[in-house]
Amino acid sequence: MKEKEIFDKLVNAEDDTMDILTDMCPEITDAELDRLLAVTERKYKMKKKDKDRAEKDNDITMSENEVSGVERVRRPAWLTPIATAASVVLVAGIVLGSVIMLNRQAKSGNGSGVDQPAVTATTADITEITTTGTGTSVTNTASTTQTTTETTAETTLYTTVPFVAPAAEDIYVDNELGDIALELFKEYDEIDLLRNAAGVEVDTQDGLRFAADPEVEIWSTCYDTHQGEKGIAYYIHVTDSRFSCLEDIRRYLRSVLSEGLYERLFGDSMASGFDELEQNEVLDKEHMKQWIEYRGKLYQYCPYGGWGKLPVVFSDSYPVIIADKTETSCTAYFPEWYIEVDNFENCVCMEVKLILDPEFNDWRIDNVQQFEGRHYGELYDMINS
Amino acid sequence: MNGSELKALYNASVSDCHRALMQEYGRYVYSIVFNKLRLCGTREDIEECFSDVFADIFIKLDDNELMEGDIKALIGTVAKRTAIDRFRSLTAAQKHIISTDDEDMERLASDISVEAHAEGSELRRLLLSKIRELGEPDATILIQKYYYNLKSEEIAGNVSMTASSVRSRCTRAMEKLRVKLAEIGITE
Repeated sequence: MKEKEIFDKLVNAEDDTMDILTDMCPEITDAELDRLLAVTERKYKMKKKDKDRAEKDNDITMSENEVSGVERVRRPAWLTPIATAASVVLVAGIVLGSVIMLNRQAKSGNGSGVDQPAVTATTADITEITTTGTGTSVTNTASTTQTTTETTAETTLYTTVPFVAPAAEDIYVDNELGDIALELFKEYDEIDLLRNAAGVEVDTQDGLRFAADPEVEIWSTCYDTHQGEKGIAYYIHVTDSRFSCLEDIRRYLRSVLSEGLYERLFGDSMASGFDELEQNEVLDKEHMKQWIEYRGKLYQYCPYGGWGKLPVVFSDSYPVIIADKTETSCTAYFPEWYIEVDNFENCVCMEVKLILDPEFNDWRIDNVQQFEGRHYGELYDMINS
Repeated sequence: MNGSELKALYNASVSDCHRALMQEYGRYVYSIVFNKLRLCGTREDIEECFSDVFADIFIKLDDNELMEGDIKALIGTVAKRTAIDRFRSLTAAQKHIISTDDEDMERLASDISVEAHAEGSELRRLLLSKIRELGEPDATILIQKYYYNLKSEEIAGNVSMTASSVRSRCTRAMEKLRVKLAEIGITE
């Protein structure tokens, strides 16, 4: 309609023009107000919840020997396992030594260059592990003289895969999709705890002890002896209300991860079907997995050592940037800081690939890469140019 | 509503405060969001953006950011930024490309030529001034019909007329507007 095209010229109005257009704007009826207010209150509660959670993360305290509020930590910081409580959240994580049982590196979903620490260690009283940590740089020493630890992980924050910037015409800000990406990533961050045998409520008084398959060299934290022991596969009963069986864990993981990423990260992490095996007998490597079902109960492997994370924060000022959007996939970029929001030089640029999972007809994370923060800054400038 | 009134209402009841803010500034926010998104978004997109704006405003209210300073200016800023973000995402998703064979392209080519006239803001001011010269309720009828895309029945309730009266006034007002625009060089 020709008339409409005249009025189309009124878009992008200046303030004085906007005032006039506002005066002529139709009134919002009571029914419309109620409806809009209801939708707004829902969005407000969701945003407030995210904001409160982010603020709560920043309340994590880390002392020399322990970290409290373990679910919210991020970068490596050594912890002293709690050996006396009847029911605790297990915080132990990275296995020291040449552990191949759990195939973490081979299964890494992002091909990250984070290396396993190279360690020579002897049996040590786990309560004597000392921890020093400042910011994101952590050094760790054990109390025995024979222990040396080379923590190469801290020297490589980012993947070795080169950053490939999306085309300028393919990037934009989509608030709804961005919210989905960010929420999924926060869940992925929680899942990262599971990858490192942390963040799960367990009963330290209810453990299983098997002799490890001689072909696999492992160390376990053994809560019955309060020792780190070589050649023992020690498992602890999972009492977490979220998981009562292997299928519960799988379902939880698949609520965030695509089938492909789930297989890469956790595809070989579960075992069952050896109820006839008695404790202290040899558990073969095919069944020596991170989680096992044994005689009707769910158990989790207890690796030797400690692990922790610094709290991560995000900023509303730097939106999630969506790239390469199709009907069934997209890539999300956003900056992540440790502890507090800072400039781009001090953040990590997260690249999260999402796919529309056919099993759930919903978005799932298919891959996660980390890059230097400046790459997000470049995308941000492209969006705003 | 000033800062202290807002604070008093907030302390008395947060939900009442939210409602009062939306009642007072709803049209203002809606007109800003509509102005930015009317050509690229659906009514649902516009309403969703509207809700996003107020959700952010409610958060700022919790942080005491609205209690001081110019409330309307702050709300306006939030509205503009949110609308711009949504505009970018909508236009990128739609990848606005019009084929020269497109019907709309033909209509544009043959319609009123404004490219020869003053651009951008000057044009907008001029258009609005001519519309306002028509007086009320004709100016409001035209804006609500052709800018806000309301139906005659909806406009009728706003200007206290029947729908048929709105239609006939609309036709006459549009003719008058064309004459006025022609007088300043905007011709068909």
